[in-house]
Amino acid sequence: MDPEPTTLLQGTLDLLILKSLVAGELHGLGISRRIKQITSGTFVVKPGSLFPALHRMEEEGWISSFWGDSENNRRAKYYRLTKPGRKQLEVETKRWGRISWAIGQALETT
Amino acid sequence: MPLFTKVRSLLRNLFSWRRVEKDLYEEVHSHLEMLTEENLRAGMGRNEAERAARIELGGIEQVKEEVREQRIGNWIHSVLCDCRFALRQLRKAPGFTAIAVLTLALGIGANAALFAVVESVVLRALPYTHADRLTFIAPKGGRDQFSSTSWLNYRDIRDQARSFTQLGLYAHDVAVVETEEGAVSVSGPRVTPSVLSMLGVQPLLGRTFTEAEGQSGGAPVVLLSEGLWRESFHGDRGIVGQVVKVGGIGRTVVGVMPYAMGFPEEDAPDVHKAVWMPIQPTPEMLKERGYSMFSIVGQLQERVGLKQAQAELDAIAQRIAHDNADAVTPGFGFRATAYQELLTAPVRPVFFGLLGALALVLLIACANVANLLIARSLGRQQEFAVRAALGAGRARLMRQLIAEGAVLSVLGSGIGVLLAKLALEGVHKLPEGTIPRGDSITMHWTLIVVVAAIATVTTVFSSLLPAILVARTDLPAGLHSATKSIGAHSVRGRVAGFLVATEVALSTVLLIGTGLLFRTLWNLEHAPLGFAATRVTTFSAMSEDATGFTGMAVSEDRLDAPTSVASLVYAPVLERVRHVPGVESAALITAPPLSDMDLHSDFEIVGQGKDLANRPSARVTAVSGDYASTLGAPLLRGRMVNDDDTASAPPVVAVNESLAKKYFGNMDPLQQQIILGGKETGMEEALTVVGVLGDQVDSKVGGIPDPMIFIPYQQVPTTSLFYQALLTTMVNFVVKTRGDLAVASAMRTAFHEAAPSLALDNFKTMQQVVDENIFSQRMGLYLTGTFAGLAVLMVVAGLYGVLAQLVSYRRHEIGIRMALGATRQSVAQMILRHGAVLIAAGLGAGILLALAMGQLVSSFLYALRPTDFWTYIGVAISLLAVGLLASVLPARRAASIEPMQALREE
Repeated sequence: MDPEPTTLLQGTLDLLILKSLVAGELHGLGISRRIKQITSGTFVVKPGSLFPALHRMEEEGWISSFWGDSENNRRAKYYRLTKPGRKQLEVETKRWGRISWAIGQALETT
Repeated sequence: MPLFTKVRSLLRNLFSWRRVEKDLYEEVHSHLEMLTEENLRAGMGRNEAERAARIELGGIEQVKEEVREQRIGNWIHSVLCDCRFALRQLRKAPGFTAIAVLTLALGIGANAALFAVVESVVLRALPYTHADRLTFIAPKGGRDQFSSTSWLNYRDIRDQARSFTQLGLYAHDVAVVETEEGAVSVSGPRVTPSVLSMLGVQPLLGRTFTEAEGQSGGAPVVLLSEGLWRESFHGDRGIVGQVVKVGGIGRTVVGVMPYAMGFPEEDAPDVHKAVWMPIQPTPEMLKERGYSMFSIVGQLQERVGLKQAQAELDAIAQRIAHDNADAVTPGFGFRATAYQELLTAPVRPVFFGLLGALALVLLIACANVANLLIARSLGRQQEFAVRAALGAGRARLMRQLIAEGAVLSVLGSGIGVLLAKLALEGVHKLPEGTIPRGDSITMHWTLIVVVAAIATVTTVFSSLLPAILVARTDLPAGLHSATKSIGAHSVRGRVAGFLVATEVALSTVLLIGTGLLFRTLWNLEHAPLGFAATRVTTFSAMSEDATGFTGMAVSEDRLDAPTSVASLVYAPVLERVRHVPGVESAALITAPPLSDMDLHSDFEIVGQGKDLANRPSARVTAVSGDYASTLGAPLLRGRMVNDDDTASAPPVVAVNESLAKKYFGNMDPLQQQIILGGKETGMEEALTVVGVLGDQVDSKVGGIPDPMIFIPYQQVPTTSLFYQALLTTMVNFVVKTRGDLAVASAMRTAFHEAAPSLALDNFKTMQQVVDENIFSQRMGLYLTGTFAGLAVLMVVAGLYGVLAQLVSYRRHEIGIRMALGATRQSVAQMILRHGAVLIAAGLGAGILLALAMGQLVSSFLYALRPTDFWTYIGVAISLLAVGLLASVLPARRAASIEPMQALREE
């Protein structure tokens, strides 16, 4: 049923995590599911990549974390975007736009 | 802002490690539970839901480890962890740790101590203003690097040279200072006032010399050293302005110089108890360009190099030669050298040679520790496999081994520095003057840098190979296979063998060096001296009113010449000494063999043309009768000068064999006549050669003796320069005794009665004099011998360790061999053969290395080629013997393996 999950391009994971948090705070599993949803199942982020990225981004100051209750009343660690995080998202979005445009150009050239 | 966040994260990661870890644990677990719940909601059974969740998560520990690696400051934490773990591991293997740490400590300690010596003596600047710009200017073609020149040459350089901010003149001399406790003879350097201002040493009390005090006829003044001031003047702060008698002349004390003032450094250590007096030019100094008593020292202008200064000196020398064609010899010129470099030149090659030898010892120590670590890592295969299975990467495992090497190195360095401190205390116990600037040897902060560098090197050399070997191994395989297949042909076996062979090669080089030095010392101890040292004592005598060598003058008033001190003082006291019971014979000689009394003069052979370029020159000494018989020196031709050659008898001299050969060649030297300078020196009469004495060593045992002239002491004209140089300043006596006799006290009594004005000093037997002369070779031998001993011990330990490990890991294989019919003998032979191959390979490489490096030591050798056959053979045989001895125990252990037991063990 799922399309073949694609390996994430270097650097796109950060972009996707930032994007998934724009709508509001999420815990780790929520981020993973949200990415799957917004990419229509193209990207499935495994915990082995997700958690290191989250911790790194938190140390960069792009996201912050706090403990809260999940929808099933379970304690979970939530993440939300910070101000530098929003700025970073803009930067990354622009960069991605340039890359995808460039790749598109390259592929169209014969 | 981001920086602030990062710093906060770093601090949190380092100091709230537990909380951060707990957070991570909870986060991963809540994630896992949420996954399980999701699966349950999707309709899976409980077990299946949990299993699927775990699969999706991947290994819990692996995820956590990957998060940790993302953390800021993670490496600090993991390094600390590694070190703590390494310490725990090492504590579990105290024997291994002790051997490894001790090995490194010896290597590091010896290197640190020697570096401290080299740093203090060669590298650290002298304690003077702009010490790096201090330059010594010597005449070209001088007898040694510190040759002296004349006031006139100094004046011309001073007035013309632009490369120097200041120039000064100094002379080595002695002085007798009158104190409350009597006369003391001390070092009495003469200096121009400019020398003191150039050095920039602030006086402890008073002032240094003024310009006026450095002029002809200036006030008689003196500067005391702190050492003499404290010892002989009780540190009296009111000393400045008082008059002290120096050489019979009252001189006003103008200041006291602190201990740091050690100039001229080449006179150390005596100069720390010295008096300095200003050079006040005498008519002779202002007249004679050949009056060479002085050393020139200058301070280079900033940003002026030695080359530039040398070029300027060359130009000045040319002008001097042009203006004074009659007074200078062809090849006249000056050579500028950095003062400190000149000072340390004799010991520099020795130090660097020893440092090289020690570097070899350190390498051997590293190889040994590397071998121990490899052997240990064999036994830890399973541990590494388990850690790999639990999420440790190869890099992490390598880091672990390197951390162990680092911990060993740090421990080794700590103990090594303590050992170095002990060694330096030993260095300070050496006889004074063994090493120039010896009293300045201390541990300096640079030592810490050096030890840290050494520790890094030892860490890398000792643990890198083992770490690479661990990383190369198929780790999971280690989990289920106990290591059965480690043989001589496995990678580790080969590396370990290679390391041992390297150790053997390096110690071969050290042993050959030691062997060569040993043979050199033996040769030196048996080198011909030209005299018999047995039962001969020498001592010096200085008159209270000794004026020193510097102020010598020729008296024109020859009719009114005073009576010589030789017949007034020395002849009576010699007569008295000869009658002391137990004294066989006694003689006076200004410059006995191996003394520092080194007076040279040009001379002229009557009837031979004056050849300015090759003017004959010889060491000159005054001598009394009985000299040759007292020292047992062989007379080759004619007669020795004796006490019948009085002032009124025809003037005669004896010469040594070298002089006869060098200047008379095939001619018969007897009855030839020589002139020692003529009008310039006041020795106007021609002297007839009446005898040829066999050569005696003069400045160095094993050296080539200089030509020498012996003048009867009563015939030295009191009006000549030679009178002051040879008789009135400092003379030596040699006394041959019949049996055991307390020579010093007997002589003091005799002199007190017959010549109370003479201060006696420097009592030594001739054997002591000889031993002191070859002390540096002896010390070199002891040091390299110690290093080589260390190296051999390490080789034995290394070889034994490798073979013993080999046997224990090959138990299984040996068991099979024996079960299949191998005899115990053949098993033992197999191990011995393995040891022999390693030794032979190392020995071969070591001999080649030693042959290649032979030229480096050739300057330390005496009557020996650096490729001395017997030394090489001896080293090869002894290393083979020692190596086989180290292999016997493992071989016996291999032979005693019970096949059934060995096979069942698995």
